[in-house]
Amino acid sequence: MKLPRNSKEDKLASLVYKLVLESGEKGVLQSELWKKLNLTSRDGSRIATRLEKRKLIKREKVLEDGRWTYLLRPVSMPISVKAIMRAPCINCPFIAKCYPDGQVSPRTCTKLERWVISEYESFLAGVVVDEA
Amino acid sequence: MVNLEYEGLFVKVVALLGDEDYVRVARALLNNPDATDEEIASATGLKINKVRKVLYDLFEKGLVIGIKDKDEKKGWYVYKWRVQEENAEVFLKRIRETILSKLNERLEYEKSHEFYWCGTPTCKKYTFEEAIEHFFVCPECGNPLKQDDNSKIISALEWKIKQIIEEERENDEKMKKATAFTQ
Repeated sequence: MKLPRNSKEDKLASLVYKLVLESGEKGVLQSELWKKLNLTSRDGSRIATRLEKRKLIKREKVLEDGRWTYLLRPVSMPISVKAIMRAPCINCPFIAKCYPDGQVSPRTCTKLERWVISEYESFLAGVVVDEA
Repeated sequence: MVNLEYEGLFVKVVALLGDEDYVRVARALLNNPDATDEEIASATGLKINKVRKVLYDLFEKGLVIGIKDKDEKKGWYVYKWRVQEENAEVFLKRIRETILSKLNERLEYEKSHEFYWCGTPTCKKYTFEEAIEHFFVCPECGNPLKQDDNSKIISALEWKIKQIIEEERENDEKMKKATAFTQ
């Protein structure tokens, strides 16, 4: 079975998630959100369902001005992994053999040193590190 | 590069492991639960061998599982892939702990030793004891070993450790807040 490519929808889903998060505890009406993003109800609902499936938002059916719509509320907040992004230990093939007195050691690891120094220099220079 | 700021935990954890292709596979898996490798390839536009490489890597790390299923049309067995989202949190916690322990070990070592270096970028730095053994001459390039100022690496390590701990604390708070929203 061929599945549709959905990178554009993924970007849109991130944007919807961002707006739902910004709405906080009170949530945001789905109909209002689609107007804001210039989306059709069909496309918008598909994205909201996708985010709900991913357990990022919750959809609650509400009656608004005599019409049924959904209130979108965040279920999970986006956690950050910036501090460990690009850390060499994550994909290091020697991690199982890496210990203080080992042949591979955090005491002498040049990759670890280069990563920490370059991140520190970026921080001092005011460069914002993306999670990408 | 893809922006991951407003992504769920699973995609972020997968992004730590590989390039943009990993992120595309992760998103496709979330959008299409129980998809086969061929279906993921068609959803992402990636080559099938690349998709398989990513899937096997994620499988090894316990982030996805493959369910064996018979393809009724073709008559052979295929694997349907399913995300193990609950494992992503544990995996992330373990990675953070590993990195923190390596950084702390390095910091302690840097603080408790004096280092000697010849200045050649490809040559290693020696502790005082090691430098004595080599008569303060670099065994790799023959240049004299001079005391090296390691205050920058110490500051960098202290900053990074603090940053990781702080990020974890903020993440815990976010999770608590999200739980409060749903109650």
